[in-house]
Amino acid sequence: MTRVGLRFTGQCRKYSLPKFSSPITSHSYIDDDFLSLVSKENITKHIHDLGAYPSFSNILTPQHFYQNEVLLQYSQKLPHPVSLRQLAGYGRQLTKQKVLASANFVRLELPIRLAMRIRDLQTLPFGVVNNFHLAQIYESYYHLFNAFRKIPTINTLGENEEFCTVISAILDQHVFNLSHLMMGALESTIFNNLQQEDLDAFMSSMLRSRISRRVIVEEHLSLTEIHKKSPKQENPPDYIGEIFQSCNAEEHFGIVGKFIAASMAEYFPHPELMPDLIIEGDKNATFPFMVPHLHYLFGEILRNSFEATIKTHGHNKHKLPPVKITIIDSKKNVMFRISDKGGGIAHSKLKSIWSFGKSPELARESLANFHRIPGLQLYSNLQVTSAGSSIVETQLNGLGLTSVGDINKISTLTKKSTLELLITRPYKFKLGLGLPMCKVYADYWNGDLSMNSLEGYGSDTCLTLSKLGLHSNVVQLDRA
Amino acid sequence: MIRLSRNLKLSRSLRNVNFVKCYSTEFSDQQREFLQEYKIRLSLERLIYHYASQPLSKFSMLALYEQSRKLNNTTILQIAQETVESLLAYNARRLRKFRNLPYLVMLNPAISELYNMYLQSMSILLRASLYPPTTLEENDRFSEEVLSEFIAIHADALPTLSKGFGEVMHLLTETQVKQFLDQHLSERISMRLIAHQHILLSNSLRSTDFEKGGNYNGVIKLLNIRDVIKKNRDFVNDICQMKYDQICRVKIDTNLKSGGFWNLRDDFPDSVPMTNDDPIIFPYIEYHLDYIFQELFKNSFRAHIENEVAEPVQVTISTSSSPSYMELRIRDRGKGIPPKIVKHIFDYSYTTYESGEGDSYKTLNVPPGLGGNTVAGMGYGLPLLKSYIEIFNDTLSYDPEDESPKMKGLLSVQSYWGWGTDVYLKTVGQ
Repeated sequence: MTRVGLRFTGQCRKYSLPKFSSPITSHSYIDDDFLSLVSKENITKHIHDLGAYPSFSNILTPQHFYQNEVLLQYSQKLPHPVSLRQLAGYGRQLTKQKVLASANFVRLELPIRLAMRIRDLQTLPFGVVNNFHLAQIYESYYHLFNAFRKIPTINTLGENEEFCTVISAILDQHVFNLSHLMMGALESTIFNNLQQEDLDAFMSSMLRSRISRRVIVEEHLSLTEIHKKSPKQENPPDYIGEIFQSCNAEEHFGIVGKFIAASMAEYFPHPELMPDLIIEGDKNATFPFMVPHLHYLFGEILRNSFEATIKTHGHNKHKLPPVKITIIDSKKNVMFRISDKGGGIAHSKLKSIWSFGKSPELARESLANFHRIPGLQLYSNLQVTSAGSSIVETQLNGLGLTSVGDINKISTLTKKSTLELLITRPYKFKLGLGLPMCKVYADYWNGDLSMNSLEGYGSDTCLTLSKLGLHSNVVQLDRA
Repeated sequence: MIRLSRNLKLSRSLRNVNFVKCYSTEFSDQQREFLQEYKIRLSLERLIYHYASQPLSKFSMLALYEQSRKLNNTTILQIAQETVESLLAYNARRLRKFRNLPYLVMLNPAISELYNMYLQSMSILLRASLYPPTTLEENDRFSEEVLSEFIAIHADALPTLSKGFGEVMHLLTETQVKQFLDQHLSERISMRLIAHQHILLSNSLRSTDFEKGGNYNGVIKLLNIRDVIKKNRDFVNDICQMKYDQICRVKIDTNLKSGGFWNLRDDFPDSVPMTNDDPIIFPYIEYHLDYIFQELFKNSFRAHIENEVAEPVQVTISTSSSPSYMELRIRDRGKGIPPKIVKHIFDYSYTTYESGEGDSYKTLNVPPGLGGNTVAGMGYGLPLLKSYIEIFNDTLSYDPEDESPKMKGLLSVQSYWGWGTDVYLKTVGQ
């Protein structure tokens, strides 16, 4: 591939010549030559890629519009609000009835919630959803919707086993949705075809719904497992399920701190100078939470603090000022104040850090970074039958009922998680969406995330997490 | 190596200069392929955005006359370039408007088909813009291949438009539909006008009729309105014959004096009333008038035939040379339009024609160009008609010195329920 010469500009910031001649040069994202003769001729051949029925899709076909009538009916139904305790199984013991009731609840609820989100996508402007990423999400959701509709009522534990295999496989298949959602948001910022408030509202509701659905499914999988392993287990009144582990804040900060520091090694190759974490306050605070979510929250906050500190003090060859974390435990919630000396943020910018809409330049950079994350799966392999209904590939397909797909091994702790991939990404792949995402997650669990800043000095991030289980009858998964 | 782009000024304003550090990561084939596709898609969207942001050139009557007067072997090439750029701007705008429709609406096959037509014509225009004609032969080829193809691609759009919007109406508000269709139809008329103008100008140059400096080398020609009426009467009667085995007559009435236009001074000494054969001359765009007469005759003839009215439909004409306009009244005895329907006749309705139906307001709506026995009613006849007549309204000269009354194209309908309907038309000549 020929190397395109660097464009001269008056505002050139920093650049470097590519070390290897990779086809993905920095110019992939700067395409001012779209007006040139050669470029016009080239891209004109592909103009039909902007059409409504992409070639990679099995679902987006001319018949889809008419088949969609079914979904319109589903979207009229209301989702059933539910609390964590209900999901974890009411009462002191799990019974077979509870397991089956849980299974059928999952079976019926999920399509309704999916239908609502699909409707969201259907009402957005075509230009927004027509990009590759959101089209993948649309397809993925629709595939899921159709897959759930096919499942008949679950009446026996055996049927429940099968059901669990299917929903587990579904979770796996769709794990990459999060990255596409984020990339879709970035692209629509670059093309500027959606208002910022609309983008934020859309992203929040999609993310919330996603969290809801996954928690519902994972609770059920966990329930099934417990019923099998220890059916006589007696649960305390505030039990909310095994997917929530008891977390000691100090311990987790330590773990996450090490991850983040390691990921920044390439950017700041002086590990001995990296800021320390000084933890004070109620160091023994312990609370139930989902570990991946907790790590994500801590991780993004620490990452921002470290980055700011390095930027401000990195040029001195001294040990960087530490990041101070204060933990305040109380009956209803636990608060964390993460203070850094990273130079702070201008107040004018403070309001917009929570938005998914960045300036087009920043979005472009973030998207470029996103594309470079190694191991990021970009294409789905969703299969459909000739009638268009969904095929879910489970591990047991083709292997019969061998012990390879032993249901006991499908535990929530080993579920693939995009969040983990995102947490452990090397620093150079700065995505720019950390804070908005964290806010959605914190908000979801009835917590809060806010930021105060002393411009020129540093910032204080305030994370509040509710004690789940305390008000375990509080309806938390009502937002579909 | 520094490469200056063609449109340096333009590029600079669009330039976003954030170079990204390139890392020597290894990319899977999948990632490579994906990024290649991504780059193409990004460029396409930017291209459309760029053209859609250009101001639309509104073709005023004056401008059309200008082009005709200035026509020669050199100016035609300049006009060719302007034509392509104009069409690109209009086409890109349409694409953007389609892309603003909700996602589900665009998934409808008929709407998608329309959108694809515009993608198709965009691609043709883009290629044409790369090689503008530099000789007369190239210009002829441009007319025949590019422009004619452009018109052909969009020729049968109306039934698809009607079908599509019928199916997606429940997903949009009434205002959204009306706004979209109004803009769509009027821009469609503009695009076809621009293309036709160039084709006719090119043809004029080649033919013996070419009048250097004359006004009528383009789409605007001196027409004998009597002939136009007769032609369209026959066309519509053909359909009526096929369907009803009957025809309808037309009587033309005018107060014009033979040999000239009517003017405000009534003291013309040797003025003689016109006979039935004297030509009524007025400069206008023939195929616009064709559509107008066809639509109105379809309505009136059907009303007469279905209500067994033997009298002819009356067409009354009054033209003026300065200011230049033509006023028409088409009067039928077809029992009129029911009062509750009257306020909706300019809405985009989706009535489908059913045989045996006797309502006089429903039309034999056949898209222009398709003859024969097709009688599917589209409900687009009157709103489209209004667009044709009002097309030049936005471009009248607003010279503050000019004190003459500003005249606009007008269409109005007066119905006498139980008796008949009168349609009043005014078309602006210059």
